Amino acid sequence: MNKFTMPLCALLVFSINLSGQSLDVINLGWQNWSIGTAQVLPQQRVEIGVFQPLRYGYSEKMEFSVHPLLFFVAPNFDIKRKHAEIGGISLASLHGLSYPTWLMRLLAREGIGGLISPEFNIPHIISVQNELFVSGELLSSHLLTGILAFNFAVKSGPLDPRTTIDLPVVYIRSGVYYHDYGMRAGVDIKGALAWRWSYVLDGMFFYYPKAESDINMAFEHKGLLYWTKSRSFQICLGYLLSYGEYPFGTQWHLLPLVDMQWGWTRKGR
Amino acid sequence: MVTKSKKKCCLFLSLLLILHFISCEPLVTQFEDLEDGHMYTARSLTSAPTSPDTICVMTWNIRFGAGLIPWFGDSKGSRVILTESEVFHNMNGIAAKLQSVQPDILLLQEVDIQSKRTAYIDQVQWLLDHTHFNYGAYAAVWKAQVIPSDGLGRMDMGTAVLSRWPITKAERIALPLRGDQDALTKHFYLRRNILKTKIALPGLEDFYAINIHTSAFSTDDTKKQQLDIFKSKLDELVARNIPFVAGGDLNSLPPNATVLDYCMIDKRDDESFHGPDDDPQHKEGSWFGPEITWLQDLYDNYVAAIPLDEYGANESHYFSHTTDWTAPYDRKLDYLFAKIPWIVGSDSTHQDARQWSDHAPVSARWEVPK
Repeated sequence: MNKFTMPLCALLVFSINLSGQSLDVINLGWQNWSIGTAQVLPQQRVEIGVFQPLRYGYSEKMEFSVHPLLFFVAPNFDIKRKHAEIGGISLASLHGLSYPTWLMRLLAREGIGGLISPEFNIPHIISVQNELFVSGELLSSHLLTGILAFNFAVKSGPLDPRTTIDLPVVYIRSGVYYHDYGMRAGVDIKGALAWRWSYVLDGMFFYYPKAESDINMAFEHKGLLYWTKSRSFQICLGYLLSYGEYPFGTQWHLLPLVDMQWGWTRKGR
Repeated sequence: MVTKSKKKCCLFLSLLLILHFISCEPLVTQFEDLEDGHMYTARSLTSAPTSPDTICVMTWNIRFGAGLIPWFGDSKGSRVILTESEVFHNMNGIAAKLQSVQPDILLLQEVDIQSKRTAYIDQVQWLLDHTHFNYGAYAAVWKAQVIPSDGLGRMDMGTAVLSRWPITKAERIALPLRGDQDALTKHFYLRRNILKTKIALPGLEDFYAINIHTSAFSTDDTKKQQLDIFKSKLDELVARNIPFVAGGDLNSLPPNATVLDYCMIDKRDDESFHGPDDDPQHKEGSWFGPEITWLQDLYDNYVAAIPLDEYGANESHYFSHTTDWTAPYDRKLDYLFAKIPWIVGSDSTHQDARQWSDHAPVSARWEVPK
């Protein structure tokens, strides 16, 4: 069994685990709370979560997003554009930039809070991400999305590999700074359960071709249960299962996820 | 239909909650009072004496293979994360020293098995695979997915016992945590222990090797409590008439040491002590005045490989530690004790191994009772 088999099996298992529940109360349309899909927010709708980016529906086909908490230490900006909707299948792409240098330099410190050793220099890094989303409805109350992504990073100088933060989520995502470029592929399914309850299940496979073969891949699976009060508020609880190849070996992590999200529509223009 | 859906939701929620509470790996590993040690075996075994009359026992704080590199934590340095080649270079030096002395049982302190600072090299396995030792036992002292300070990152450092003969049992006995730290620091800080190993030494039905590394920087009586527990574990074996060798880095001076204050030697350039406005007056771990009698009980009840009178007659000959790379060793912190006497004159404080650690190994021969 090679190292790709287990993550692929896990991806397959949850991808076919459709409940088929009917959508009763929370039929709010796929455009709302549409992160991770080929849908974009309705024009002038704003959504934000404690751990989710601030998203804004600029037009019916385009949305902008930033991570506000990170923005001042790791400036970032994403544009998502919906390209087509044919026969119930939507196609969108996301293109983003981020500059993690200030954050990494902030974490390269003596004393408490130092996640990176201050003995290293952190160069300027610009990370570019490009994602392609294809979404289609299933059984009228579920939305299945396929995601393909290609990220790359440019640096002003060498970045010492000992500056990695060897923790789940962080190590996997920062891999592009160390290995120049990386790819992701995944599946996301969301849908209604009953009343105000809905779910999201997703799986994402990460691959860094230029990394050494024992640290070049990772897999994440997320399960979230949402309770939607209205178009304006929802709360979610779930888990993140992460498998990664770290400098110390491979490891699974199971992490709790909790978030609150708010949405509203800006008046006028 | 509604009830069925409701039940499904409740079940899903319950499963999630259960997963959260039972499956999340802790950021910092905490330990029970008594746990099994982690056992090791060398990749290839080498033959061991089948009926030894004497054995050579060594204790060595190997400073996680950092050698003389000025590591930020204890030697006025700025280095935190070593390169793989630096660690291998120092481990090769340590292995060469071990091969030249050929100890039969080795008590190791500050050995890393999966730490970012030492390139995630499993030093216990590496030493087993590169020396004459066949078996090992390990007990973690500092284990965390991340130490969020100074860029230390993932940490798994501890004490170990290596042996030519099989280790049939290993117990990690937890020692009291420092009582002079705030809760956050304490949570991420070292959890000292005693590693008690039962070794199948030929000719003896029961035989133990006991390793300890006590608190280095506590300013309260934490170290005294740890030393008292250490002695109580030796007392238990004596009561059962079981032979043992014991030792480690006790971070304490002999009761007859003449220099008790190392603050001015150990301090960094930006630190000040002993002045009227200085608070604290003394550097953590460098002022031994109030604790100078804490080893007396061990010396009174057990046989030290280096008796106090010998030490007192030529202190510098037995010094085993320094924090100043440019000066000779200036204090003794490393000890070997037993109930059955060590062979007189067999002891050695290997000050020639200075290049490989901030501690010198201490060894002595012990006669196997017949």
